[in-house]
Amino acid sequence: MQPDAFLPVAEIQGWPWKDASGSAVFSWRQVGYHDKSLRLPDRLGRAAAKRRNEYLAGRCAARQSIRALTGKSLIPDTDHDRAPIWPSGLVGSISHGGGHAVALVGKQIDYLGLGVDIEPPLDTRRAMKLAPQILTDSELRSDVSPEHVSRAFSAKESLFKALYPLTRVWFGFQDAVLVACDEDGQGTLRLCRDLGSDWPRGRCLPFRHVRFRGAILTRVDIPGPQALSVAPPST
Amino acid sequence: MLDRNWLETRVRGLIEDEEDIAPDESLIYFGLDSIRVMELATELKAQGVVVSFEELASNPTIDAWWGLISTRQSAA
Repeated sequence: MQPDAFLPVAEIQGWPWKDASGSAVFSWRQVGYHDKSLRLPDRLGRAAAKRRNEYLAGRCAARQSIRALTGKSLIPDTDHDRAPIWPSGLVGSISHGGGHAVALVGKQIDYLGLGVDIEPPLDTRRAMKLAPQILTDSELRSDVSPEHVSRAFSAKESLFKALYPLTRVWFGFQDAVLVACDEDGQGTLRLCRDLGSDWPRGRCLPFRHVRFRGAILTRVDIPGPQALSVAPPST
Repeated sequence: MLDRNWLETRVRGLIEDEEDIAPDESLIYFGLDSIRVMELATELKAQGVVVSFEELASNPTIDAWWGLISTRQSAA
């Protein structure tokens, strides 16, 4: 494993989850422009410094995650829609918000898809204003506290990031509902629209949520064939 | 009536960027996130222009957005 000669290695203090994925967190202030291995897409060259740093922090977090998982120092390419193109055999996602960038990367043998999202919590005014877009009508009849609206927003973002690369079907915040969300960090999302034969309306997917460095952090894991085929030993 | 100038000014406000943005450039590159797209959809609705979050988010350029807004305004 190559030591990182240029960038301060992000200590993931309090990273809440331990599992088969690699993960890393970078503050956008940790990005070093002198690191020649980090390249900005041409189109970002004109964006504000904060945007460039967010992007680079996300790429640093991705590289760190990949290294934690595989021992190789690789940076994902960027698709035309700014989505990362993961090295062969890997899936993952990157998010930034509240001054932090996080990445979550797994092996395809373990995961079909991984989605992660970090958001500063919505304040009351914004939560009220945006709730009708983030929540479905049925969700609006239950919990509309800013904390819950923020969680729902983030969970649905994570769902999109985990699922879109598999389905290539665009879907929005009205196409999934939170049917459960407990204070221990577990929840369930249910699709309310068909997104392909494997992803019918009514299908439920678990998500996890936690408060992390003041932000709301959520993830959606879609287990891969290996994980699904592991049956308990017969007796 | 909303005009294109209003949209361009509003988009610059949303992405907190002084730079000129090419009208066919994906605003995702300028750090536009879902919360801000939702805010714009909410503001448009308040102005009587119904454009969904999904419509805005699926093609996030000033050209595409102005296309949607101008069509909806003339239909109203």
